[in-house]
Amino acid sequence: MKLLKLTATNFMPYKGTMSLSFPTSPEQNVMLVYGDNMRGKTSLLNALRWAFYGKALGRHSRELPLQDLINKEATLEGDWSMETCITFEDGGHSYEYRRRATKHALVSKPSRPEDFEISRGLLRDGIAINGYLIDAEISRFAPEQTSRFFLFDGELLQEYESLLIDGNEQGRKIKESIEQALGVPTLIKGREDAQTLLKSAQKQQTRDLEKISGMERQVDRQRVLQSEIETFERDIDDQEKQLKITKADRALLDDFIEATEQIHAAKVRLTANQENLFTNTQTQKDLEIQRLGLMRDAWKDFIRPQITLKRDHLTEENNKLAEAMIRKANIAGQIEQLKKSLDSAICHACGQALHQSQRELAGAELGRLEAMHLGIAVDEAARNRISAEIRDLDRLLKPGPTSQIKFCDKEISKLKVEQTKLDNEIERLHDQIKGQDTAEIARKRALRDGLIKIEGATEQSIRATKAKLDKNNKDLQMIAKALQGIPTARAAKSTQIMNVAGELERIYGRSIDRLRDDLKTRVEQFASDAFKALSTQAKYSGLRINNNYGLAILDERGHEVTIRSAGAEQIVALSLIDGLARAGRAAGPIVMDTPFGRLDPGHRANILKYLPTTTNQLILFVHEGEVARSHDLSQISSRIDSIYEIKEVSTRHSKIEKVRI
Amino acid sequence: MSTENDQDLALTALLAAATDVEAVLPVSFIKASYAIQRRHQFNQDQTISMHDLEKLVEDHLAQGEAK
Amino acid sequence: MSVTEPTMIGLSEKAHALLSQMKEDNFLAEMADGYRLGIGLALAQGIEPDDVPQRRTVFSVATIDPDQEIAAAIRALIDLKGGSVYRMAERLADWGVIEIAKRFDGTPIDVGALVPKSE
Repeated sequence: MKLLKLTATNFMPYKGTMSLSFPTSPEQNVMLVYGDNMRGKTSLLNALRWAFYGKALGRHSRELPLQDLINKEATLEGDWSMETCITFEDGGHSYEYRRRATKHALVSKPSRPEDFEISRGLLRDGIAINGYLIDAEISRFAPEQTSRFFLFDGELLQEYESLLIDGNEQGRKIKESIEQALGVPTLIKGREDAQTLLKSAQKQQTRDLEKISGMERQVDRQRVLQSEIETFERDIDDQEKQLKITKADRALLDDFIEATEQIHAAKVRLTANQENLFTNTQTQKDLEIQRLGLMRDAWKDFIRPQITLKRDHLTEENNKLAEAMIRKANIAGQIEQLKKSLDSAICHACGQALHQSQRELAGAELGRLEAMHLGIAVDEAARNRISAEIRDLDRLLKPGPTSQIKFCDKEISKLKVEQTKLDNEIERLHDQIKGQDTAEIARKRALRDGLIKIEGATEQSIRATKAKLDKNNKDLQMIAKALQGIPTARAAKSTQIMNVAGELERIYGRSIDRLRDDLKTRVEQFASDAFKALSTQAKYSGLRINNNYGLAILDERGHEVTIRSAGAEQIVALSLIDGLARAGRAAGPIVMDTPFGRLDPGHRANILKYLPTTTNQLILFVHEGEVARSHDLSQISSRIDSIYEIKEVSTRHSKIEKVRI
Repeated sequence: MSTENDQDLALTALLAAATDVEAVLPVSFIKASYAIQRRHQFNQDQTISMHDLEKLVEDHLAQGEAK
Repeated sequence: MSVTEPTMIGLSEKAHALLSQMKEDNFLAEMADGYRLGIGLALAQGIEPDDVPQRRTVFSVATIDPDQEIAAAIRALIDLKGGSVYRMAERLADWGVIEIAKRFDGTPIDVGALVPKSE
């Protein structure tokens, strides 16, 4: 297929009519459309998507409602019509596919898709194709199931990383769409049809066997098993429908929660701050109470210096009195000794007899000492009084509460500062969440969590029912095997159909696994080749694919490289896409929206050089930061057919202009 | 953007699977069943392929009786 | 001759009003705490004030000085000349309360500011 021209009227930011002409020459097969973020690049991708499939996708591949696609400025002027027209070639035929949406006459302001009338027309070589055949015709060369590989949204690159996480919901969805793109559904459908035929034949066999005597037990058993199988299948069907609804509801809630995450976080912080404020004011109160209690004895600290000085004076006085007492006691002792010596006429020191002259000297000394003794006055009462006073003062000098009071004051002061900060923060957070219904946010979060549990329970229930279904099918097979030994049973046509259908089911079942394995091998080979061309790291030997179509990079020894940068992830994802394209289909146009976000200049250059070789038309929607016109285009300048620029006319109106290369 | 390539791969896998399970059904029958699936692969009405398969099986059994 | 000590002591009307206000403003846990702070401040400043005019009886001595520490402090620092220690306490308290009210004038009592610098 080769795209020729896209025309769109009032589509998303493009008020009025705009058009893009695609490159048609094999040598110059690259077209670039430059636009800043939020100007309309992704809308161009959606214009193509809507043109082919009547759908436009937003974030996380959610379908955008029709009333949101029509240019807002046009609707303000009362113009609610929107149209796309895509012309293309395939298999030697030229096509023109037109799709138009207009509001119903009786609706003044559309608010839902049902308020619109959709019309479409497909011309092949100028001849109109019947409406009911349009989808089948488009599917021959651009089936919607494979569209994610030709209308490629850069956001998808991040989704591919999910493939590496086993069991990841996103990864499972991508794996399903990859397998769809590679033809596995044809075989799955074949198996399903064979199973349906088998079941119908089994029921018929049951009815046939009723007529054969001796088979009643087997027939009853078969009937019971078939009836149970029908019940299980209905249950599974209902539960899968319910699961789909639950998942859709959950996805909407996830979006809401993501959008309100900041509000929720602010509310959580607000609650925490309010609790802290409460604790703060409580602590302040407690410290105040403690402080007031300590004031009782603070008066002692006022007089501490005077009391200390007074005590020192008293101590000095007390010491003097004590010294006098000791001196008097010593003298009394000496007097005692001398008296003994005089009385006994023997020296108390050496023990020898005292001569008269010595006796006279001793007598004089005794007199002197007695006079001294009399001269020393010892006031015992005074000493006791002073000691008592000192004890009183010591009580007053015990450590006072002032240092503790100062500590309380300091702590209270710190808490007051913190309190002011908390008050300010609380006010700020209140402003932030003002007008938001935080109760509603909390409700939706709780609801989402509940839905996750329901999803899990439903999935488990489905698995359990499938296990029962499987058992019943096996039991039926056992009965069928036994019946094959019975000539009359074997002859019944229903048994013959069962045999054919059963074998067909086994063949298709086995073929699905074979095809998956074959495709994975092919994809792995093609992706590896692409990776080696795109990577700037010469040491990498290639890629290895896992069961989810996730790819691991292999180093020169064939070992997995475990640490990969965001840029490496993009290269791997692009390699996978190229591998899928080559394994699953012939070359066709690729339209890519901002695929280069996380890549360094080296990788970008490789991709720009490589991609044009993988397709007959490469259309890239980029911004200047991704692909700088001044230096990134030099490698492919010879392949560029045209460059367009998206320009802002107003916040709700962009236009596209062709610019000189 | 033709899907010819992947259809060949699917048929190749189908015929190889028939060998794997030692199928007694003839190759022509298997190919014919596959052709039905391919013809209706993007058809919204999922009962049409079933109807065609039933007819194919009937004809196959009738041929067997004739022999 | 031993002097008779009073069992009840008080303040002037002015000092009493000021002390009540401090308690009402939650600057004191009890009025008795402020009474003692007043005594301590006056003692620290070396004041020996005059008699209290138009005394209003407020406290029992047992409430103000249960362990006789205030009496010990006054006796240690002031020569009572045979006078009553608790009448002196009354005079000191009256002066001290008025002084505290003047210094802090409706704001919480900063005990740290009243403690001498060498502390």
